[in-house]
Amino acid sequence: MRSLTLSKLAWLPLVVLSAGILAANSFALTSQDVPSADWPSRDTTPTAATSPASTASPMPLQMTPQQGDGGAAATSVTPAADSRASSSVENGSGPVNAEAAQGEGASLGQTQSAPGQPPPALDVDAVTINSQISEQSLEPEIKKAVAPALAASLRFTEDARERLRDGQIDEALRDLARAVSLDASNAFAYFYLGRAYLARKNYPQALTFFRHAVIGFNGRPDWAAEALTYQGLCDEELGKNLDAAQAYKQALALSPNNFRARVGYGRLASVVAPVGTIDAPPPTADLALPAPSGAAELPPVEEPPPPPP
Amino acid sequence: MRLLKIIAAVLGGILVFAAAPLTYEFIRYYKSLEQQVVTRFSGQHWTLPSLLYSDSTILYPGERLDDIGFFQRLARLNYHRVEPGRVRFRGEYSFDRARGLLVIFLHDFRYPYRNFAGSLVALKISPLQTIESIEDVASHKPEYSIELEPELLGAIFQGNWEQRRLVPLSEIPPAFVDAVLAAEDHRFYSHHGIDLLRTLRAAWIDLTAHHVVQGGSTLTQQLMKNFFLSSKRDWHRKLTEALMAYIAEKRYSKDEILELYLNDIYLGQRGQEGIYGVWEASQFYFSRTPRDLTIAQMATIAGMIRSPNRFNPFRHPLSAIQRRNEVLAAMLQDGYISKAAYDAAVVEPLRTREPYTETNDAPYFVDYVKHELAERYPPSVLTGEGLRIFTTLDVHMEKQAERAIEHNLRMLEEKHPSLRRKEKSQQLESCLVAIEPQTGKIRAMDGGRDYRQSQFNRVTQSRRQPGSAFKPITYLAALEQTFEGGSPKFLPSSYIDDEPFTWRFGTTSWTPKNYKDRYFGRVTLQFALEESLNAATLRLANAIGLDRVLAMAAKLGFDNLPPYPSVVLGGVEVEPLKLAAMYAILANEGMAVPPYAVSSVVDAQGQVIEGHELRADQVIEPEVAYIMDFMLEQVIAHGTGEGVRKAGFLRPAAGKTGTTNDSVDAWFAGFTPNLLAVVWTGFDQKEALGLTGAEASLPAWTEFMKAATASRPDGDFPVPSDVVRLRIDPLTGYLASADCPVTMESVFPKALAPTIVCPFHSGHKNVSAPPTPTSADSYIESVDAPND
Repeated sequence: MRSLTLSKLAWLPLVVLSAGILAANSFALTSQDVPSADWPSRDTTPTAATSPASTASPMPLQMTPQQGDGGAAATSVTPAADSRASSSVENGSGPVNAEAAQGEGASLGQTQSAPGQPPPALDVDAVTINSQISEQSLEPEIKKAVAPALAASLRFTEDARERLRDGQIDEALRDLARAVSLDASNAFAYFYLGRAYLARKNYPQALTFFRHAVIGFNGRPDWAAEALTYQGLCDEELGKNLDAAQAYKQALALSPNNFRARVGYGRLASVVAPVGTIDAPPPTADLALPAPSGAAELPPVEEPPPPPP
Repeated sequence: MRLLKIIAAVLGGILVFAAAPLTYEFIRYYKSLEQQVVTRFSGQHWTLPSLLYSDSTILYPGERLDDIGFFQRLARLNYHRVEPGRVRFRGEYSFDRARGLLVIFLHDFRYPYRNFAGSLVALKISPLQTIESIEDVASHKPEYSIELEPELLGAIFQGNWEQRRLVPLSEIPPAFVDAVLAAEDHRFYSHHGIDLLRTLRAAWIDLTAHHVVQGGSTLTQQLMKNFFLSSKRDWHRKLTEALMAYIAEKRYSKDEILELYLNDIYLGQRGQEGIYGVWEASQFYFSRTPRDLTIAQMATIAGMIRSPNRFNPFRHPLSAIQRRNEVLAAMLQDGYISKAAYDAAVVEPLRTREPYTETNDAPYFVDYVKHELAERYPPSVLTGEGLRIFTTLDVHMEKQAERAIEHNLRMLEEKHPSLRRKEKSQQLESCLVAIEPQTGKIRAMDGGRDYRQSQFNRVTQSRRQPGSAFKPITYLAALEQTFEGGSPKFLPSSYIDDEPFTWRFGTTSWTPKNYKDRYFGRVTLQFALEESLNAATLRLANAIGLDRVLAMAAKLGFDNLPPYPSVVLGGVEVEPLKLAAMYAILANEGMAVPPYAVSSVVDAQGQVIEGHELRADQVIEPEVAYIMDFMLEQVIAHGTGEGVRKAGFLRPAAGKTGTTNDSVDAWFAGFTPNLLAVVWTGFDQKEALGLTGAEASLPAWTEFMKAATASRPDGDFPVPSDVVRLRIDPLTGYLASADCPVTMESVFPKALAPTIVCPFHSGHKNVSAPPTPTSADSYIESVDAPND
């Protein structure tokens, strides 16, 4: 500021001292003369801006699979358990989707096995071992979709499926969030959300989405079985082998030719517990109230709560 | 002679002695100016405000244009309608209604993870305004969906909002540069920062014309003035400006100076948003990028530099044309354009875009976002580093929310004059928040009746008692106990007494009354919730224990509630947003996806520094949540929320009213399978409203949801496979027979579902009369007796 005040005087000998300008030019500043610390930074990733990225829900910048939840490189999702299953069953490939063909239109009740019974036997003749149903294009589903929103949602899901296949998990997650936003009834979106988090080895999150997908696939036993199988994989990874066995068993009840479920079930049957234990009724069965069983019996009216003190 | 020499030597010595310090000061001054110029040129040239955007809009075949407010969106996004067949530039569209053909040239847009280059798309539209197909015009390939870019909601800035988009000189067409040079500095490439000839000429013209006709400053001087100096007119400022211009010209190229100038100039005002730089001006006045402007339009903008207000083409079109033609004449004279081009340009109409008819501001939401961001970023970053913040807001829904709230309040005041207040600060208030339960996106947030009157955001800042809107927590806790194998077991068809109930705790007791002091005797849980019966609900809470109710509340986001039974009936203050988050869990089959407003933050270089991923936490079993949804559906079907159906909202929906003591707070919280909204109505000063939630808030909720869900899929709530919906005889608990006098639909876990048809009403001779927990008459009567 001092130089500004004095500058008013400095103008007076301007003409006389024009030579001074020339002199000044000779020692003019270079950009190196300006202290960099005083410059407004163009780098807009200041410490304060980077810190929030590490907080709570926002995802980290440029998340790579390694930086994420543990992230496998994940072509079409091959976590440890997955590969175990694959190695033992995948001895061929082909376009046949026996499960889908069988599952179309079948109801849940028709395929469920009785409690305590082992899952249905594999119909070997009906199957040429193929890639999983969830590895195949969703184009048939898109064509079948009547609701426009569901069709649009399935398009994003199909994009996400392809991205997952290519290992682009972050991009897939963005597509899937959009798919859910367009139509929340799209169970396929939840299934692939589960696959995306499974690829990141975030098993609890994957499990949540697979469970949700199972609800949405009510009436689609082939896909419900697929979701249950992945649910079982997550359970296994989380050390919940009993739940995993239960999930595999349910999957096989819905789709007996689901190889991953069968291999998973077989694996747990031999490792976790005797077959009898696994085939025992699920722990939730003890919830059941005695249902009215005879015409003369009183109806199952609840006891009123105790009177207030 | 010798004396003369001595005098000359002395004088020379004095002169040198006097000049030396002045020379030193001048050099110091010169260097300080030089440092300022270098610093400014080398560093960040402007403080760039953070910009807040709404969510983008996906268009896909099957969508109805009216349902998503399509044409209003286009207007807010600065699209300009032209005649069919004349869409040539980005930001233009045409709609040939007779042929059902909508053609849009989409804007370029920098999305968080990709840059989109605007393209021409054609949409086939049915007579019912439904999109039948979408095609990319260039490739003739069908598109499955297109994305309309997010809308600008506002900015975070310090002082003035200087809205500018920085573009390199290479992106500005040479003709535009010529127009600017012809208008402001036609000898730009031949002077060294100062144009003495032009300065003298301008001064002479101004003097003879007795007013300012021509500016004498070069572009470089103007830039120096804008960068460093005030607009005060004095000789010192002028000389400093000239010296700085000289320095800048010595150190930097003409193109560098020109680029800064074209990005810097002020070119008008849109509300509080200042339009700076030629890119923003092109968008603002003509809805085009600079490269798409005609010569006449370039000349119009170039002509505005001298006085953006006087030559504003919206407000003063004649002056703007006159000034444009002066610029065109200068361009012709300087040889920038041919005579033919000049002749064509001077007769061209202005063709500005339509003035804005609808604003896209969402002030309460923007405040909320700013508050959220302020917790994570320092003010200097938020106001000066040009962040782009993408949010979850749907502007169309926001507008619907504002309309619904305003309309409902006006109707309430008309119908109930006692609710009117003279003082605006005391008037009846209401708020609405809408959330997409599956993603957690906050889609609309109207925090009050009038933002100009009160900036208090009632959605996020107020804490009010939810009343009966809290009751689902108790029912959820009871259902969860059943699913966990606890005892006693409760299902919607279970019975409970609705008689006056006293809850004793410690040395005190509490006996809340039912609405209008009406009691219904033995009722099903489903009926108790439908009619919002206080006594029955409290008895249920007592049966399962307050701890279980509080534990369920904690799962739903309400930690550390006081351990008092009044919590059961909503006697605790909560924020409407948290209540909405609780209901969102129910709408999402028990999965908690926390509501959020900021989906991503992108820095000025386009790097995403904060993103959001869809994550969920299963806090309630899906079967429990589904049964709760079913019960809340019945509230709307024939309970306290039946006004929803009466008002014509027929989609699958579930909801709950809420009214507090003396009707101080009136709520309605409800959801379809893919959208949730909560409405609160009351006085800030907590005066009695005298109305229930069904009377005061339900109409606004319904009006909003009718409009907001019009474009959404209309599916039902997904049913978990372990749950079954059955029609039963509520008097006996068996499956309903054709002869049962009263039947009801209810939901059961498969393991607990009745399997036998009612034997009492289906002709079994040996069956005695059915038990009558409550008479059929009283049940039927009670359906029409609203309670809250």
